[in-house]
Amino acid sequence: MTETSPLSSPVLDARRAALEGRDERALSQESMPKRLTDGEIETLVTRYREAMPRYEDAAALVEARLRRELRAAALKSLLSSRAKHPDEVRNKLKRLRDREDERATFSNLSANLNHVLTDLAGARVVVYHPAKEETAFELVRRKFAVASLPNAIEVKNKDYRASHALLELDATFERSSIRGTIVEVQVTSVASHVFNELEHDIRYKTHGVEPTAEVLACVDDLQHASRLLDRVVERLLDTRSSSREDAETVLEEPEELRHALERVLGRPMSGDFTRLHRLLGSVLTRLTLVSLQKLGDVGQLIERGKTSYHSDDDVVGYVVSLLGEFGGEFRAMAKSWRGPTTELKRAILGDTEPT
Amino acid sequence: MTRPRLTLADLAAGLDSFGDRYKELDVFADDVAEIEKLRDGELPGGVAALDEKGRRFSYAHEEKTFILELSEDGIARLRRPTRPPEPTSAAVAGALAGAAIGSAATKKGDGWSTGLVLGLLAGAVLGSQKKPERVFTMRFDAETQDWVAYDGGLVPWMKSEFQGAS
Repeated sequence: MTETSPLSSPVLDARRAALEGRDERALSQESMPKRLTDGEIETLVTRYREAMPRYEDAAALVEARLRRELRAAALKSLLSSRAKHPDEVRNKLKRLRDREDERATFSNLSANLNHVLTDLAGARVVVYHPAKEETAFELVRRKFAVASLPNAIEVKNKDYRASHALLELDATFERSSIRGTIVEVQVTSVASHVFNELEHDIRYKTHGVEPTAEVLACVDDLQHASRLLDRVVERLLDTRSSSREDAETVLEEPEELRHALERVLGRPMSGDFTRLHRLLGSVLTRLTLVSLQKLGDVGQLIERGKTSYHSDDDVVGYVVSLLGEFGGEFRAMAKSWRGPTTELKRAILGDTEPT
Repeated sequence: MTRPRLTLADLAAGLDSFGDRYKELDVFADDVAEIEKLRDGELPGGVAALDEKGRRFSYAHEEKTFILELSEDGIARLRRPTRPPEPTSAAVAGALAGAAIGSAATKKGDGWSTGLVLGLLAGAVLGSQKKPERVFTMRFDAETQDWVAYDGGLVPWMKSEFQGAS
């Protein structure tokens, strides 16, 4: 037996080690999910393209409902919606594969693509006043069903600034074909939107060319500029509102009524300010802060009404408290309201079941 | 069959919509059928003149008495009297009624929505103000012959026109 015989101890030890290593690798490969292939990605994209009308409808319906709710709440904003482009879906699947995301298996993605790619349908709310981002986001959470998915609610406030909610379209949407669809709603300010969009494209859609130091420096400058713009817009809108805050000034728009009541209350308010403006405008000769204060302490009226009607809607609470004074008139008006029966209408007409 | 115009009985019913909560109901003079008769020099049933100028009248309806007031601004106001009215026996001029009808038509304009009949109830006072602070805007539904709430885009204009004429 020579020293190089396979039965000699060092060689045997080395061979044994090699075999054990190969076994471990084989074992670990068996337990690892199978990596998504380009062909499988293309199959998923083709299936998505065929189902795309469903996501377009879902996004459009969410946008329409958001538009109605935001208008009723007197929250000035810009809205948009879209279904993700198939090319974007392809790119995202590749990124998931490349970073070895455990969800990126063909079987998992085939079963429910929408639960992994939660932004196939998306809607965006862009508010002017940065402080209204939180108010608008709270409205989204109150008026829609939030999906039971990880990270369904995210508020990002560092470089990228926006609030995200994953909604699952429920039975309140008439069209059954879109129920169960996940729609991602993003709420952000005008200034943040500019930065978010450009920064995202530069950092994540490099197309193989990494951004230069000069480009990244410009991105930093843009971030500072967007923060400054947020502050300037806030100061502009607050100053303008304050200049109209003479207690005798007629509150001509729902937004002005909202602002006046929130200033008195010292906090943001929830509810249908468009309808509230119509109700009060029809029963008061001059809808001013003075005439409102004659009706009673705003905070106390709201809390009393919310407690008695078991509602967390500030406008509903306020109106319920005023029914003692204006019940006949409010009921006459509510009866003529068209559209879906809202909590406010039910509260005025004396339906005892809140939402 | 629907009537195109209000009658004084409709005004009385409107004023009583919420019991005696409101003191007066303002409408446009060209919407009231009896005001046309006043323009023509006639006194409709239940109506008695309270002055020679044709500005104030009493109206008796269902055991109640109301005061009808006309203004050159085009407004006709039916209100609850604060004391028993005293009719005049003098001849009454119809010129004011004619002016009121003309002014009302001018304010509405040629494009006024046919059949839209608006009214403003004015009533209780809030705080120490003398001028009514409490109002309710309505429109007359010709189909049902009844007053219904109105909270549309003309509310600010109605308040300005009707209460500005007081």
